[in-house]
Amino acid sequence: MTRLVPEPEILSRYDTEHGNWEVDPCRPVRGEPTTNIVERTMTVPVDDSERSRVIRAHEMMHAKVSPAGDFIGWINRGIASQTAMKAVEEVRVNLLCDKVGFKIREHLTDGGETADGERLAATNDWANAVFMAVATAGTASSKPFLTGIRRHNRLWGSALLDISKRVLKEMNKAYKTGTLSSTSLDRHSGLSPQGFTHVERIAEWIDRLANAPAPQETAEETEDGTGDGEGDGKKEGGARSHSNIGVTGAGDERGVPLTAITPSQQTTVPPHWGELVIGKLPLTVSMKGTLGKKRIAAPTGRSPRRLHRYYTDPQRRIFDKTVRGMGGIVVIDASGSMSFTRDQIKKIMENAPGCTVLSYSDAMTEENAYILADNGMIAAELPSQGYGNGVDFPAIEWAVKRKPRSSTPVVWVTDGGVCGPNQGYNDMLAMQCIEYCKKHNIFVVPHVNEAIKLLHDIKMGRKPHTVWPAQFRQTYRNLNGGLLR
Amino acid sequence: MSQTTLPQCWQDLHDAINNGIDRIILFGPPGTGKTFAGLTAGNVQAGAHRLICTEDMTVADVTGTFMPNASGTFSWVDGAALKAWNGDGINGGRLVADEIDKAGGDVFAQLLAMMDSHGSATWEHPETGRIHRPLDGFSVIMTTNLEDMNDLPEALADRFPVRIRINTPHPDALAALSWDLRDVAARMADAGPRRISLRSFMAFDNLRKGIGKEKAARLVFRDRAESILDALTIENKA
Repeated sequence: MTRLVPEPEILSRYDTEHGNWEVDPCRPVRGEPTTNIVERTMTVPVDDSERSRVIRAHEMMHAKVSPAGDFIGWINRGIASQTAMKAVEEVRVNLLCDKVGFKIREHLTDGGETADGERLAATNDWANAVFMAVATAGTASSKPFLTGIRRHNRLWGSALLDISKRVLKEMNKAYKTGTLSSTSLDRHSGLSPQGFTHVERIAEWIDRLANAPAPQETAEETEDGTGDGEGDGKKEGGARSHSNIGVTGAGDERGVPLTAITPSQQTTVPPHWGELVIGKLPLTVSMKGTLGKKRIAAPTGRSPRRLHRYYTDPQRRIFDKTVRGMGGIVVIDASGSMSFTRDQIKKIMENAPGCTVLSYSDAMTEENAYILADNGMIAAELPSQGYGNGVDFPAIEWAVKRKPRSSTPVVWVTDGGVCGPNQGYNDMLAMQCIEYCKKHNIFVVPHVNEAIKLLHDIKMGRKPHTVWPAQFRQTYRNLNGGLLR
Repeated sequence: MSQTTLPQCWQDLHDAINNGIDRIILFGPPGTGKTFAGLTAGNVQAGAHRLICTEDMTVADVTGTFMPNASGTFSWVDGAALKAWNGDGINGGRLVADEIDKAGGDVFAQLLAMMDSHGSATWEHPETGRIHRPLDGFSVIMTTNLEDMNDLPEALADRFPVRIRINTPHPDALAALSWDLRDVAARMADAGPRRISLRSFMAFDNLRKGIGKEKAARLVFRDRAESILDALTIENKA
């Protein structure tokens, strides 16, 4: 039998050194062919079948365009998950293979996709079904995978087909920019390859789709929605002409329509955050209250230290209990569209004794953030700060990392006009902030006065509420279709 | 040869020659133009003489021998090393010794003597008895495909303090190829077990213009044709 070994040494990249590769054979089965650009190893089928040829082309394209040592850097940016980026990278690689003439649509399959689809639908694993549908989009694997899905869940089949088509459409739009296969360093993010910025953007959208509630069939649809699961899903489900019809009911438990979850805008400059550089201010003025412990009367306990309360206190709180000041971390967007005074900072500290207050902006100086108050001390004067934002996400990330206890409240005061250094407002960056705030229970308020009120509520034992800024609400509605809660 | 944007190895060679180094070893994969460089790099106005070393060669190839002439007698014909010593009669020429490590023992010893430093190198003509010395300007460039310079005999290594690994074809040689093959040919010249020589790419480039790339690849690259064509497609079109 002819042994066809690929020639990765022929390929060039701007971001890695050229060198000799080690190529080992494997079976043409999903999961076995691999490419490691850093170690220059490739495992591919070497027989002369058409299927093996497109698999070799697929792995060669990975060797040509996929991230090498910087992949961890892309993950650390936190915009999209590793799983989503891997799935979308498959789409990019397959599309590029298709564009240069390899028959991906006819031959890139291993025959096991139908079973994969059945398994994912049967186990109700919507997120992985989305990732798999994306990874197989535009290849011969897509149809059998969706067939497997439809055998258990026709609505999922239609929804995933729709997602596959939309991913391909987005990737084709990215292809037209001419940078999809670029391996140059993206000077904005400092990462390579540049072409991967498209993958990150689409992967952020795929993450939202995967994390959305899975489409659920109504009782009526289940009754008449049975079938053999074959076909392309365009005419299934009776009158259902679109994948997401059936999940659009307003106010029902099934969430927003999947079609309403859309990718963020393609930009010429990939959105990125600046580096947070915190300047030191002399905190010279002392304020009342610190983070220390405090004893208060309690109705239960071990030693009755307050026996006099037995007669004077209606609740007979004769015991002691130790309470700890909650403190808190308040991050204030100090860009041109925001304003606050030192008195307001004082009020924040009165309502959250011992809290830390950080203000940030896209300053032209080396330092773009300042700690205005910390541990009961406050700066005598507020510093002048820049007009842009620049470091919104790094600032709230800093706040979460600085939390002394998991229960310490973090409050972010912003009008929602988030952006990277010298950039305009960007949906993807805004979504990153929104998701991060939701994940880490950060309270978001649009003005310092509302932060004071929120901290007062916490102090009084009332449940605080986030007041999402208008721009965040608008972005969320544009990209996800639903209301930001 | 052009002096702009030279790969490091070629720049090193030019630097060495231009700064008076007259004993240089060029080593590395075949087909990168080491011999061509030896014959042309630097000042070779006094002549450059090539000596291809094999196990079967004799000292006659190095210094010279008596050969039959038209008048039915024998006359002396200089060998490559002696020709290079004498150069144009005013300045010494260049001796380019290919694969000196493959020469037999007696030839190797003679070559060492001929490559010795100017003060030590002498040779007595067997017919005239005249003592020959290398003229000023005599230089030696030795080429070999050996990768480990520790494999060189110590006496030889001692005579050649500057050793340059030529790992990519000279840009002037690559310029003869079509643009889509130039970078590829440069990389594949030093691609280990799967290396493809510049000559193969030149043959492929010429053939494809006449018979198409599939046929040309089959003729030149044989069982690697499909893989190489696929890789070229990805490299140039993606």
